[in-house]
Amino acid sequence: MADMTQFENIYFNQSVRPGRLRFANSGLGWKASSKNATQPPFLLPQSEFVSAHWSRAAKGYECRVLTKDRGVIQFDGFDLDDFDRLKNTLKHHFDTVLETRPHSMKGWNWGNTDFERSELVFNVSNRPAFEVPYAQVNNTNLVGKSEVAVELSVDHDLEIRGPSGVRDELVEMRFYVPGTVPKNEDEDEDQ
Amino acid sequence: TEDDQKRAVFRRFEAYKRESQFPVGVKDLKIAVDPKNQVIVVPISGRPVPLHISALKNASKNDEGEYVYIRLNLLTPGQGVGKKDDLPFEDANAHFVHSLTYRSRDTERITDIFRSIQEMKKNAVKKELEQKELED
Repeated sequence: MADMTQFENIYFNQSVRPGRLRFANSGLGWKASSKNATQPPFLLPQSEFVSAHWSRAAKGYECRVLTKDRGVIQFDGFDLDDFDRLKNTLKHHFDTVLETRPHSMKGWNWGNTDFERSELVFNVSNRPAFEVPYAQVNNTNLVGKSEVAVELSVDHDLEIRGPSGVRDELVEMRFYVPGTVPKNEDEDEDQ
Repeated sequence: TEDDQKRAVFRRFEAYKRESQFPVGVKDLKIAVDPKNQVIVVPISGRPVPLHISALKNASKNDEGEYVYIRLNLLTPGQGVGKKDDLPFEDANAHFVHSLTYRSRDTERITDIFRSIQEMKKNAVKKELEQKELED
């Protein structure tokens, strides 16, 4: 029997339906569970794999995979108890460490924006609050001198995520980024 | 002057302490309202993200064809008309999420969510005013 590890009921990139995620030394693969599902299987060769993180997501826990040239891949729907098995799996097949990445639960809207390799990360008190993969960004605009509007592509991965309207779709987010211009000189007068 | 005395202090708030506090509804990647904890949970790229009601300025909703749009405007520096109106911020040089706009086909549900958000904001403002009066 092939050396392979399998997880059931895993959602790929916010897919509407779950599928089966398999790991082998050659790479990983996801396939929709339902026979009449239209989503094509997803394959990632091991050479494309960079790193993986474990976080709380929507369906359950998420394994977020960073790739060399294929952006960020999200696998959601793991149970908390799956952590050890997934960790061992990644160690065994990919010789990599599954890192846990707790997210901010504070509910603040201020923090710091980091532009990482494949996604924008908004950090709140040194913990990520959310990420936006660049692949999901349609357009960005400068609105005024300290505001940036980010338009999101809701048609991204339509065949995976199902018809639009299945969920609430984020179409635009705006960031207020204070300028690097020195603060108003008259500010001292207030004190 | 009296204005100076009224200078508000920044109030710290925290939505959740643990991930297990998320309402059940976050599974569906839809906006969820949690009045008990004063939190709105919004989906961003597949992740439920809590927003405390104290970070919300207001919300608006409008229908466009088959979609309903809901926009959450959040508090940022520089929104007050005069400098005296400006709210205190823990870190005014931070980056702020200023607004989030969602679209949905579920007009009825979004209308309910919009109503609950407004109710929650109204109550939060009322509570803060009462607290301020007690302190004065």
